[in-house]
Amino acid sequence: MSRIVLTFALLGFAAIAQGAEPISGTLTTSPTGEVSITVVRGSVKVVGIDGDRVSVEGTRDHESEAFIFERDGDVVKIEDKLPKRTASGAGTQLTVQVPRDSRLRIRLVSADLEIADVRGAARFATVSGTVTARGLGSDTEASTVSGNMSIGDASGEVRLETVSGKIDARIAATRLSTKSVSGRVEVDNAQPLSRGRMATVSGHLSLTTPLEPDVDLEMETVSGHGTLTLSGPLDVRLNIVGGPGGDIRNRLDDTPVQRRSPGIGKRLETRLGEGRGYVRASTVSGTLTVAGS
Amino acid sequence: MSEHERPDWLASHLENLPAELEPDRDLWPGIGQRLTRPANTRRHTAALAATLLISTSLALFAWQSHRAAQFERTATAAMIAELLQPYERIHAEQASRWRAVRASLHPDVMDTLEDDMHTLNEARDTLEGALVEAPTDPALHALLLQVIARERELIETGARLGGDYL
Repeated sequence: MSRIVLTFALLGFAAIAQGAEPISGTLTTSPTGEVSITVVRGSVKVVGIDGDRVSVEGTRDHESEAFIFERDGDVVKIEDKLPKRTASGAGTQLTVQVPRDSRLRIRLVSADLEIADVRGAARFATVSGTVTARGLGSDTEASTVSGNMSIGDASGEVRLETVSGKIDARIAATRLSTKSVSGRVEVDNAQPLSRGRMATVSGHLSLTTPLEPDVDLEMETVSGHGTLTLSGPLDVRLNIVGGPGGDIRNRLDDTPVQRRSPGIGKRLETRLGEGRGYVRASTVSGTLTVAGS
Repeated sequence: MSEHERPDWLASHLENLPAELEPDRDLWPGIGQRLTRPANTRRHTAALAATLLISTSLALFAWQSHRAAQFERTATAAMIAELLQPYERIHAEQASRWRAVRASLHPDVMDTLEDDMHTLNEARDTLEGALVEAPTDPALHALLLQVIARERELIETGARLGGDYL
């Protein structure tokens, strides 16, 4: 197993006094290999390019203890190591070019992330930074705590998670999973969805999508509102339940929303087409709206 | 002794007697009162007995109804308590885990998650209140399970973030 290690050692107080230290390096790797990036703060931009090289340009965090840029098998590792306690600073600024079909594994804390044109499986997470990703492939998993996330062009299976940040996704997924605590999640999906699950505590959920005939789609909220806008030909059974204080609005057909019993909640059951697919949604005290487009 | 056999002195006395004699006072009210008194007493006694019977019956009926309602309330409360017991047990376990997790969180993250834990607690209280009214409603049980699942996810998120946040 070949191993190429390029480590930028800490240069001491003199380097710190001079400010951010420039970084520049290139490694050859597998065109479908993994690129792992770990940065605490600053910003990271990852761009997919043709070829089999990973290159890094930018500056290190002024408190960086070590910068790691190494290859181990088909995994290229990039990490700016900071001490446990840090003062404020601009952080690490990186632009990383990777083979277009690379697999990404990115872990940031308060750093912003931008990804463009990387088609391999992507796993990326940030705590408070913002995420903008375009031109992703068929397997995407992204999470944020309080940062906002904007995802474009992802296809296949997409899994998105937020605590309080907002997620805005314009994708073409066939399988979708979103989790939110209080963050708002809006998904505009261009491909017929076959499996989907969206859940939140108090965030608002919105999904616009066409459906596969045998779709299995679920939307759950506790106090947040949810809107399902279903496009294209529909062949589904809908089962929507509202708990005490919950409300249901049917803008899809003429089926009336039923009151189960006073103080218990509401229910909407309807069938469109032959009802091969299944869409269910539930809320405890939010409002669920189902509509067509 | 016939009318012809009466001595003359007796016959003359009899002829001198007045045809009617007015009493010196009206005796009828006293007689009437005596005649009617037994009948009134009987009626009063019967009424009293009927009242007692009705009152006793009503009291018995009310007591039985109260007992039945009390029994029903107790039975329902026991059923609800039994019904909610698994949820309460899970909640107690999760609450304990949450206390441990929240201690490791950055204050900003803790505030966010704490707000949502509060939302979940409110939702659970609402659903448990609704389950008292409709204990067998499957949708309410499903919603309660949903709340518990969100609670678990929230704790897992907190546990994951515990060591990460700057």
